[in-house]
Amino acid sequence: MQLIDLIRNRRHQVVSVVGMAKNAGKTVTLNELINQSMETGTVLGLTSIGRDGETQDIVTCTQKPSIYVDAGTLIATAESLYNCSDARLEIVEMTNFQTSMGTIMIAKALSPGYIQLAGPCTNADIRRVSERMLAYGADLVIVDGALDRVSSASPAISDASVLATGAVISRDMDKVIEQSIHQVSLFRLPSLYEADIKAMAKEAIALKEIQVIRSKNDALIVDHIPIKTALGAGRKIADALCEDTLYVILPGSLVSKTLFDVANSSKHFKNITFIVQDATRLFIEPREWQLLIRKGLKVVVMEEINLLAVTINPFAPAGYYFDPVTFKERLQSFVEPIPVIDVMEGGVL
Amino acid sequence: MMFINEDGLEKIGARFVMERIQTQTPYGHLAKKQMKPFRRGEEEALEMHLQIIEVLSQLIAKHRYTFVEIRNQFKKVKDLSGSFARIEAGEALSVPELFEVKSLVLILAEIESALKTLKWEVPDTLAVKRQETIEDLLDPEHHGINTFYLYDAYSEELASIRKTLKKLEDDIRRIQKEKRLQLENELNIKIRPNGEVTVSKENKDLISALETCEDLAYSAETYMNITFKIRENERVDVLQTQKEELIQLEDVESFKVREMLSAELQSHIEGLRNNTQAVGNLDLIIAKSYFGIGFNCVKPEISVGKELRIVDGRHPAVEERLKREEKRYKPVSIDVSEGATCITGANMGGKTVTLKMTGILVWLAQMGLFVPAESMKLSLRDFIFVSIGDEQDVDLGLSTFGAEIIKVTKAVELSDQCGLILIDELARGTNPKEGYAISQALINRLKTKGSMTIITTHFDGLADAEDVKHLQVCGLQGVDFTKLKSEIEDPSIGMDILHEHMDYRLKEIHSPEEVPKDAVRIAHLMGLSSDILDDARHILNEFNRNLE
Repeated sequence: MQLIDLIRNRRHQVVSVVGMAKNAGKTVTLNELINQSMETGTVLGLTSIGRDGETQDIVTCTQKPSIYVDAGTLIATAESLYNCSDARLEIVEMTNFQTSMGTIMIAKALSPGYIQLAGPCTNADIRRVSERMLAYGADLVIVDGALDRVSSASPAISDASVLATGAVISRDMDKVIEQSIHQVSLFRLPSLYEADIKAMAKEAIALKEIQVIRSKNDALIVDHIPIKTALGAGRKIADALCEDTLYVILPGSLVSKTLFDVANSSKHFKNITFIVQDATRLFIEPREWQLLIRKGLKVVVMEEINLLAVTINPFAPAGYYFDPVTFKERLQSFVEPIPVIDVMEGGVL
Repeated sequence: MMFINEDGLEKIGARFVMERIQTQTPYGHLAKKQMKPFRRGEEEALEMHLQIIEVLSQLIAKHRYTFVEIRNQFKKVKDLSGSFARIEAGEALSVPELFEVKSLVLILAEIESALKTLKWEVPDTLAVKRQETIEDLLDPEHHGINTFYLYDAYSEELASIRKTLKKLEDDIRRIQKEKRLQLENELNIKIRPNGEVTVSKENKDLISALETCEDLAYSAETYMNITFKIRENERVDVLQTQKEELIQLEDVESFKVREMLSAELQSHIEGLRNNTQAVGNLDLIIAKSYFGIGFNCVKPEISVGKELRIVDGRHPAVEERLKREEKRYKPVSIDVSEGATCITGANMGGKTVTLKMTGILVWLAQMGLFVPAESMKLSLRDFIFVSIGDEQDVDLGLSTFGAEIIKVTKAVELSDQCGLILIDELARGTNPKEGYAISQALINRLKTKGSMTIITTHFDGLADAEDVKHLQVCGLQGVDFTKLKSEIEDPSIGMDILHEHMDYRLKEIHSPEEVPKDAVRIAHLMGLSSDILDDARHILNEFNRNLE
């Protein structure tokens, strides 16, 4: 099954493509999706999460654009890139979103050609321009997630995500597979289903407060822990835990140090469940994650990430490669039922 | 000269009011920032300004939806001053800039047509006018939608270049496709739309077949596969070169079109500038009208006499806070003229709030706004000077007394003009004897001046002179103190009840009279222990006896 069919069948409207590293095959995946859309007559909207630093190259048009679109495609990109695309563009809207490369405009390609993408910088703005493009007639919006910005997989932006991984991560296939499975398993963390606790957690996250929930005589009691972020706050959280504690709500990021601090200073670690906004807030290495799971770690998310597929690139720019079939099959066996697709394989004879 | 001292602006609550005048456009924000008070001699202009607000307030009540629509249009207005400057300098605007100009003129048309439905004779400074010439210029094919592109209609040359370009692109694609299909048939393979085919190295037969095919070229290789690409044939090469040249020409021609459009806009720039100015003025005066409606305001009556009369005035910030706490605001009336007026009365009697209320209402009126009161009549003031002490002065390293004297010195310097001077608790920061003397001397000076001075004080006798107006807070007169005390001590009622019983209104005192001694009673209500209070009463009696 083609990637585009997976998306269309499930009626997703905004899909992000996220790369685990540079050269993990994200652009190949993106172009494959664009090609498949052309073949199926899907009207696409395209944008990317804004990057800092690369501005000079892009604005002066020295960097060759790598995304080729069909006529009719909508794009949301910085106004200064108007002249860098060789597709003829009709401006549909100048938005109020500002970036270092200028105002984000929404334009429609009147002819096929290469375009240059540099979209808004925040999750909320990405979501809004995506919705604008849907309103202007796009059937599907694809968000190009920037390097090391897994956050563009956040449910706040997209209905579903595609994760691009590849040999570039390590010469050791086991390591690549381990890293990839880890990312996939974080993306697949279960969501909180108890409605009353979810409501409490929503409020705590809105207030940006770390809160603990305990039960007392069948009633739920909320205590606020007065610290700004969970970074280095493990001890204080541990102090606030008691036998009846059920949940710890963390409005910001969750890092391994916090978890180890809680695990090492409180015997109640096993009994509690941590609540975070979504999996993009977790910053934990695979091995630490395994260790913490063995110690009894439980994490749930407010919003699940809908992982559609994992794409792989068995070739690394450094020259080494993995056997594509082995790589694909091994990864596939670990991430079932999520399909693994070799983007380099497309049509090899 | 500053119309109001900066500290005073803060103290009377002007910031609160400014935050509630909600302009929508960048031009409105600018007009708001540049708002200036109407000065003496500008009574007529102020009257006209207030009349516009009066008319607008009635129109808003009648055509609510139209104003929602106008404000929605306002929200889309962007600051194009950068592009306007470029137009004036004769530069060629970029396509995004031209799009913005087009959006603006479409918004202008919408605002003009909304204004028409009001059947209102729009004053010149507020008249937003449709610019049809620019609409036509930027929508040459009359699509009537707000998108922009360098349309073929702008230049026959451009149209013909594009036509040729399109044909070339089609030809290239057709030739490539034919080639692809031909090779696919011959070799029985599938070639990707970009002309590439990737073959696994294990497929040795196919590789040797492809290697010998003249139409395919080796393109890339991995350890696993080899990628071949369809060789560009000569015809395509020629077409590609032609295409590159045409793209260059298209660029040149596009620039000419942008130059032509920008030059055309230059001849209409005055109209555009007038329009953005009108949008800013209209935005601001509508925001002012909404403020008046929101705070239940009335049009102040402007006179050329020497009067300031407020009937049932309310301080907007205090009123809003009380409303949030579900408490009733008790309005206060005040009537003063040139010379000095003293306000005396009990602690917690609202003297300071009354002073602030007077200040903010005069400021509102002179800024061309409606005022929260039953009615207000005033003659325009040259300045407002406010001295109300607070913790901030202490932070500046000045004693309460020192800070006050610095301010009052300023006020005396200005007092020859027709200003409004508001001083809270004169000389409270020093010993009563000297404080009294300084206060008396200051009032003697100020009472003969052209300014209106209002001073709140606790000192006896300051207001006794015939040429000083004496206003007293009605306070807790006639209130049953025993009942009040028990209510305050009731945890379900508490201190809030004091506000309910306090009569904040002012009455004019004509004969010399003692300042009411409510301090001991208030201290009693607030819970000071009764033995201390007894002692205080005893000392007070001794003191009075000695005076006699």
